[in-house]
Amino acid sequence: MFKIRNALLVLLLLPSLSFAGSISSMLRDDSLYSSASSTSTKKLLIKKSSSIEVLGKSGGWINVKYAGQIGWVRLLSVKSVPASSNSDLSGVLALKNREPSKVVAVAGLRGINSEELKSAEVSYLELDRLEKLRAIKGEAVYAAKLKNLKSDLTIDFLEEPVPVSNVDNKQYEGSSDSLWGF
Amino acid sequence: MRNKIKIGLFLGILFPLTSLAGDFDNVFKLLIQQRVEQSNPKPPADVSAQTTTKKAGVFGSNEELLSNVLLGGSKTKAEEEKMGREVIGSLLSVSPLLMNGDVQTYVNKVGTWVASSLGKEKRRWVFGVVDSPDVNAFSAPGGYVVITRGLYELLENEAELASVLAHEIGHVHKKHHLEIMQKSSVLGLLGNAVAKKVEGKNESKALGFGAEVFARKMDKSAEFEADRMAIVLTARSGYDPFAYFSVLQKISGISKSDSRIALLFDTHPAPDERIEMLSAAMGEKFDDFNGQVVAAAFIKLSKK
Repeated sequence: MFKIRNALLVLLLLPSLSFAGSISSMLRDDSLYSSASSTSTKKLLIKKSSSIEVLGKSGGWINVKYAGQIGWVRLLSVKSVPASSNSDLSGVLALKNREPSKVVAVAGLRGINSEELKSAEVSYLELDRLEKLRAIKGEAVYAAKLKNLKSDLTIDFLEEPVPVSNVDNKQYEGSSDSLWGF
Repeated sequence: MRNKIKIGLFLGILFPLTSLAGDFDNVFKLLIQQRVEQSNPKPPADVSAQTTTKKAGVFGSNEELLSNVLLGGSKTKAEEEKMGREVIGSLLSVSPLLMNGDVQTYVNKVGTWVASSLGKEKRRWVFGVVDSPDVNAFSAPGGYVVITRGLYELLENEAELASVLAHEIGHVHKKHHLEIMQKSSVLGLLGNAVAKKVEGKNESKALGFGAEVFARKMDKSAEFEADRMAIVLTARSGYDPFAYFSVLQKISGISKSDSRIALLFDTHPAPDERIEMLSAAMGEKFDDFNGQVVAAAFIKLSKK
């Protein structure tokens, strides 16, 4: 039974193994929990900026090793862990002193640049292709049910937090011709 | 009398935007003068100077644009959809849809499911993957959302995809595009008025909105708001909301000198800053939330 549990845990962590074993640090003081739940036992307190070894991830929790102890800390208390699997967006030249409006990806693939966007005409052919992709809501709901996804509309929207350090509401410092998206 | 009311309304709408645009008093006067002249046209002294004063844009004439865009906030869903078609249609001419029917169908089902978690929202949503190596996603009024192949390739599970689509759904739902269009319109008109004065041109430029809306800056607060929407919509749809942090962390881990991410970094708050803001907004609310990652059903796109 224990073995099955361990195997399940490994499966659960598989998608996160790309950063397993990397060193990160704490963004704030937080407890090391015995399992990935705030109701589990608090083993010890890890101080802000402490180095931790990242072993895996599950939901909002990071499995870490600290001071010889293995446990779980809140994901939000840990500094971003670079995703090593994505560090090789290769085939693209690093452009020094780049001009955002003129940046295009190389390797024969065209990037989206703002100059093109500004002069772009509507492609009705592509627009028609896009319109035809609309999913019927019933199909989307059915697909979600097959994945055991459950809708919960009672979850409240999040309020704007009280301003934190060094965060202002100015517009970006980047080029005025920059793209705006995600 | 009617003109006076119009001018009053016009000033009333411009006033809150002066903090954004700086001191444009003189330009306002020029604009008002322009509006009065348009309402009471005088015979031109020089026929050659009578160039296009009503050039058709997305909304038709400049008169319509002033009322439809500057007096924003009252657009119907049909009007929004029309604007969105122009915007997203222009983007698609720059970056066409990926030729992969399975992925497009899949993304539409996931996106439609996530959008349904808005509740009473009755917008008609459509989603697409565009064939671009850039790491980005875009949305437009009316319910249009596209994600680039470059960003899709970074994703590892359906929860991550859902969270990215949820962020864009948040932009549309909160009408951030309309806000930026309105601000841009005012600034554009002001710019035209200045140009007109400097160059002595008697020409009124039409302000159509195409994909250039994606080339506009916007307040950080809109991005943070869309981030908060992403967390909630992802969770409401049954997914692990922390998948969104994984996406932000992946973006954070990409070299800033990588041209495929450069534009996103130039236009957005740093991923770590977004994580910090989200963290402050979430507190411990989702610590024990049991959402799904859905890795098995995720259609993975391998890098080209």
